[in-house]
Amino acid sequence: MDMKRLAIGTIVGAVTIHAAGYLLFQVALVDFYAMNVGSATGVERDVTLQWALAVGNIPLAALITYCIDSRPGAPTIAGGFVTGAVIGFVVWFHADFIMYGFTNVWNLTLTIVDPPLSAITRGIAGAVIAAVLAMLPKAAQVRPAE
Amino acid sequence: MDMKRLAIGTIVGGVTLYAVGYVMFDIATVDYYAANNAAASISRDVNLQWSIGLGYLYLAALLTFVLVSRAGVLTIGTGAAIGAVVGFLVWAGVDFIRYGYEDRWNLTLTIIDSLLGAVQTGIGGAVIAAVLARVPKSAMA
Repeated sequence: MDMKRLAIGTIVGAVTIHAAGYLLFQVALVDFYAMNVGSATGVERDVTLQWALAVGNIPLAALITYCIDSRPGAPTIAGGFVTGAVIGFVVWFHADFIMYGFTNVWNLTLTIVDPPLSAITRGIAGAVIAAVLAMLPKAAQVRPAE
Repeated sequence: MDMKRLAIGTIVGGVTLYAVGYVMFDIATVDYYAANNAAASISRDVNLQWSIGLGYLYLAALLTFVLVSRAGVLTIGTGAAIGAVVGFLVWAGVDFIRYGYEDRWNLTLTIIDSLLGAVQTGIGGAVIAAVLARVPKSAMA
């Protein structure tokens, strides 16, 4: 694992997830999410903590970067999008259904709809990560003497 | 991608994560989580086990995919280490994003949950690796 590529991909990916997530979840779909809460009350913050979202996006961006960069061959934008989307879908399907099982925060509709929406933002991040990684040279490998 | 190994790892991992998660989160730490919940109305009276099981199946699929995609021999130690890293990355991401949107947990529980998730998924990774080591890889063309 090339740590420089992992670090750059993680930073670029985290920024992209944050920007795409802000537009999708805090602007475009904020009313949809508000309409599909469960019976729990007093859960949503009055003001979203952007620093916490930024911190949370870093490990997910690292996971996407690791998966993109561990695949054989040069990263492509399309391949990065698919990898990011699949990871985003799987991670949030897992997290949302676990939370649905334990809590009354969301109804089932939102629990089902959230993973595909998350796949979009992580797919966009995967595409951007792949585009950036494609421009970065890989660290020199140790080669046998000729 | 060897679909047979992916399927076996996913099922074995899903069952392991569910069992370990039940012991960790439904029994051992249930009072700790309740004490750190800000909103009293948040928890269900009876947990939906089907939903929790379905969620673990997806994490097991991701974990198995990462394990079988890497080069080299898969050992129990490697499986545990990769499982712990994947679990921590997934739950640190999810927990902090939820902490940003919601007032359900305090910051201490947000951090602790990620570490507990790493322990749980590390055990899952070790079991998946132990089982996959006994499953022969498909012959390559």
